Amino acid sequence: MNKKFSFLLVLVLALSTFLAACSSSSSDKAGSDNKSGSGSGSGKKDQVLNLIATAEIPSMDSTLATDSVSFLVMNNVYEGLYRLGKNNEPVLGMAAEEPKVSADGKTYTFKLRDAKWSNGDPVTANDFVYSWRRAVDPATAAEYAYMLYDVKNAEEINTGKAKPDALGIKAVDDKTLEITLKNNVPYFKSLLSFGTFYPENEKFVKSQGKNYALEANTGVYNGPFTLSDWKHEQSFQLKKNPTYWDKDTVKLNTINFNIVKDTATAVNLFETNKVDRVTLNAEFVDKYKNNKEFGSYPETSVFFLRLNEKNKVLANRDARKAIDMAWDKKSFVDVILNNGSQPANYLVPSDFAKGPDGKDFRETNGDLSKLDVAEAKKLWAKAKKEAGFDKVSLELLNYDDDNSKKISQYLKEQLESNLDGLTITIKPQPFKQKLDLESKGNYDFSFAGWGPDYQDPMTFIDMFVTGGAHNQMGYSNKQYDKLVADAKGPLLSDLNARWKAMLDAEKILMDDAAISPMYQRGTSYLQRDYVKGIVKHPFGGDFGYKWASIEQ
Amino acid sequence: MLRYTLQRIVYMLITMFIIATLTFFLMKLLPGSPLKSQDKLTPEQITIINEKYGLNDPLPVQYVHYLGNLAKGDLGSSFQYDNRPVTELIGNRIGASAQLGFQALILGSIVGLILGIIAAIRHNTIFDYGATVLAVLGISIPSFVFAGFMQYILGVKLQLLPVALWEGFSYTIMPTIALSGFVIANISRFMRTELLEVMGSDYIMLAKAKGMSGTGIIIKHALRNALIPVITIIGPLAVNIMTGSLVIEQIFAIPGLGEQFVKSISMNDYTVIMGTTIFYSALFIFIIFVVDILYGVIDPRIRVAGGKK
Repeated sequence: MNKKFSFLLVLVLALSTFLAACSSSSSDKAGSDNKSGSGSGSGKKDQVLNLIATAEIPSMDSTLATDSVSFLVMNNVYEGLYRLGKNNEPVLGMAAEEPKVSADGKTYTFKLRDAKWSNGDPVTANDFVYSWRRAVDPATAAEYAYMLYDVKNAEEINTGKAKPDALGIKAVDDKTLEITLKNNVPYFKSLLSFGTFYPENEKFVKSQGKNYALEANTGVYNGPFTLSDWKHEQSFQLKKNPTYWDKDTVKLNTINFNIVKDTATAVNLFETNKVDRVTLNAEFVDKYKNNKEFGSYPETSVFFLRLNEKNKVLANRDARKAIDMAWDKKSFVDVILNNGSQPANYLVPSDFAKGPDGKDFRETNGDLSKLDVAEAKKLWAKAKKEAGFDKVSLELLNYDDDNSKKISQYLKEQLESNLDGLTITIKPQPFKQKLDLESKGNYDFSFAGWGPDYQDPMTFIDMFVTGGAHNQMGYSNKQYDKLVADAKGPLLSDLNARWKAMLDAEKILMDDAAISPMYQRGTSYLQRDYVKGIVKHPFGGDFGYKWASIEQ
Repeated sequence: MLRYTLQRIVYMLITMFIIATLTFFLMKLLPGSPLKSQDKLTPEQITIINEKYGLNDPLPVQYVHYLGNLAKGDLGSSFQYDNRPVTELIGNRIGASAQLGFQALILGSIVGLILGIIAAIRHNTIFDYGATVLAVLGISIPSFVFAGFMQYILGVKLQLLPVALWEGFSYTIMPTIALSGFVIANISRFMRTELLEVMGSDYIMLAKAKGMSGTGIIIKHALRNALIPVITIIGPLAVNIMTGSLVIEQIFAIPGLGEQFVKSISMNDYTVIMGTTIFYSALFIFIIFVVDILYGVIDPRIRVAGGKK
């Protein structure tokens, strides 16, 4: 009886290896089969774009939203005074013309164009007043209320020191809007394209009460598309908005989103022509990188190691510099991430903000640190003397997902082999717990990231001012603090000097090795040839479909 | 019977109360805030927002407040999904999970029982070993490997079934099969063992001695007795399917509740943690109750309330 049993087992195993072999060898064929199949796809002539969303939409209430899926949808169904254009410059949206700006740069007067909500109501100046006041009202508990803090009295209202009607925004008449700022910030126009600044139709919001924007038909839209169907956790659909002021520019009739969380599943859907575009992870990049439908682009999120100066070793500048120089960022990005990310030797991402001279911030400041193991070893030896230690154990705080575990392992291996006497213990923690430990300063060094809140280097630069909420690592440099304070205050009226101050501030941060920058995140994707004109935005909603089309 | 049912309902409510209390305090031990953009906000801003949700109150106050709302049937609103009521959030997702779970349980039970019976009747033959191998594979191959493999072969290569999504019956076939593997394996092993034991007992010998046919004995006497322990495990298996469908739901992009159950914990979404926990435990308690009642139907000897007086 044993014989029979083992025979059967062998048979099953043999069969399974055979099947497995089949599946891997024939994968290339699948790719070519589908290309011919896609030619007859009905999507082509109908101007229908089929996409994937990685999560359910958390919120369609522009005052409350804080996440990328919500902002992606909102950027295409709502519109503020400005919207980010094809070249990621703010272009006129609900504003009919460029505003009149007062001499001190603090008062903006906008004329609104004759635009309509999808229920036929006109978009009025009051819609902006209503939504902005609602956002800063502490009773709303909007997490992104702080986005409006550049507007006069916004912070006072949000912290309960003033009434919402004291906010620096006024409807002069139905079509004229006057905005007063606290500071004459140069990035205000692009800020106006951000979700929290969208108008809301007061009458409609109030009539829906608690149900406002919870379903497709309890929301009202003023953007290029409307949310026409929303099956929670499953799919949602955008339709061309017939009441949009610039509807002639919009070519797509329908955008279908299916919610798919698993990358392998998404790729399989792409292979079977169910979707026109899919985001890849590291495993699939190797498989598809020579495919002509493959592409990648840099995002504007930067990841770095926080080096907590509460630790006596990390309080030493040479020790921090040694750590920054002792690990190979290039092979980290190529091997561990492999998704179009680029190694970072800086804090402010590339392709994000241009200065008064028209040059990218990154182009001017360049790389501010480099891999140099020999120099790192020297600095490490020096730090040992200065701080008086021979062996040290540091704890690396990180998230507990698979990818973060790989990152931790890589850093541990690199740093331990290049810096004598250093031992690294890895502490993986669930998402919120990791953030909590970090904000309390209970860690030695940690993996962290930052994405921009507005289109200006300051959103990155001011993170590490002495005592700042996002410093979280006890870093302090008076010269740097002063440059940041100047750039936020006196230099606002001298944009060239302000830009220079920000460039210098970044140099100081990097010279102090306050952080060890890791990478600027990138995304790799596959997209059908017939999909044209999807615009990738550096902040706010990730993509604009206003100019997208399906072409033969 | 009625008295027994009422008694059980009281016990069920007490159990629910204990579960709700324990979950509430354990959940509050989790560090971090339920706010979505905790990493972007300053501590002062977090305090302002917490004020609105009553999160600055002392824990006992929050607890009493929560129980009060719970008694009214109000589970509160989600933090991750702004202002969306938790009952609605569960309601939107439970349909797909329930359908999938139900189909997988039915398919798994039927196939499992048949395999188990074949293995028992033809024990120590090739059929028995075949069923054993299937059961071992069913338990040891992780469902995501099996599901991914099936998706690739049937969906991408042969294009017999849709790869993923949730748009009609054909979309449910692959996830149902993937999810039922575990059930098939468990039930077939249980059924085989129980049936073999029953077949060896004295009264079956007697039935054989009296000249009853083999099939008659199995259907009339053996099966009925062998089913009792099997029904016991269907209860936990059903709950297992409901809570364990997370992976299958991800792979086949099914709009189910599985992910929320896990994600709400990592996001500290207090109201959703409480809502899903209460929902799942109510379901579990209810299934156990149904199983207890079923015992009596199948085997009068163990009628729960001690039988009719």
